[in-house]
Amino acid sequence: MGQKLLLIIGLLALAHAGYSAAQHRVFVRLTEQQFERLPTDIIVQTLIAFLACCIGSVQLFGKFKPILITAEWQNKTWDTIGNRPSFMTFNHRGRKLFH
Amino acid sequence: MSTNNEMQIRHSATNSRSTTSSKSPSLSKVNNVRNVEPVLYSEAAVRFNENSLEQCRTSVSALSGCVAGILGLTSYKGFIFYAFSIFFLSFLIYLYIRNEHRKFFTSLKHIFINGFFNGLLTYVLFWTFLYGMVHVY
Repeated sequence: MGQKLLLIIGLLALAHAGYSAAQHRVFVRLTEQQFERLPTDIIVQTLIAFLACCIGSVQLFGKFKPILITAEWQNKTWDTIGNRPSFMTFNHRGRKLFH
Repeated sequence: MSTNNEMQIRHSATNSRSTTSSKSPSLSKVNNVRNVEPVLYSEAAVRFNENSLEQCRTSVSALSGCVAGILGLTSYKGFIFYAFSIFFLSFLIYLYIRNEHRKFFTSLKHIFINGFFNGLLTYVLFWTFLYGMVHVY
């Protein structure tokens, strides 16, 4: 839940920064000034939101599995691992004997 | 059968020493018998890891495209920002699994180099979209 919270906060902050940038752009156009660069606080907010989103997505998606097969087989019994369906026999004498 | 198909044999790095020609034939023959120790990897787990790495890359490239569009980066600066953000993501993942990256990936190349340009088109899509939304209209 914590990592999802971080990701959501980052996305909201990013959306807010984008909206602020659009507002600033409109303000500059209406007051007929020359657009030079975005205000520093919008840039800082965008970068911090990006950092939060990065960390959040790494924590959310970065759940890796151990690739060694011994780690995967540790919790399985031999009956599961050594199961050979190709060698199963269904035609045997039991059908003649018990039917 | 399923477990057998998931199994994949790869050979670990062979510690074969270079045989010099000055040695006697019998010695070089002994050295030619390499000490190969097979390492078994679960292919399903390897594919799962690649998949989650790819998910990370795609989401972060979309996000960095948003950031580049909001900041109003143009031309080569945007591509530099893409390279920076993907490297930053790789570094974050490396920090996240720093001590046990051998447990999850066969080599560090998977984290840092493989699939570097996979998110580029996603990045350009979000970059142009957000740039148009914020700065043009």
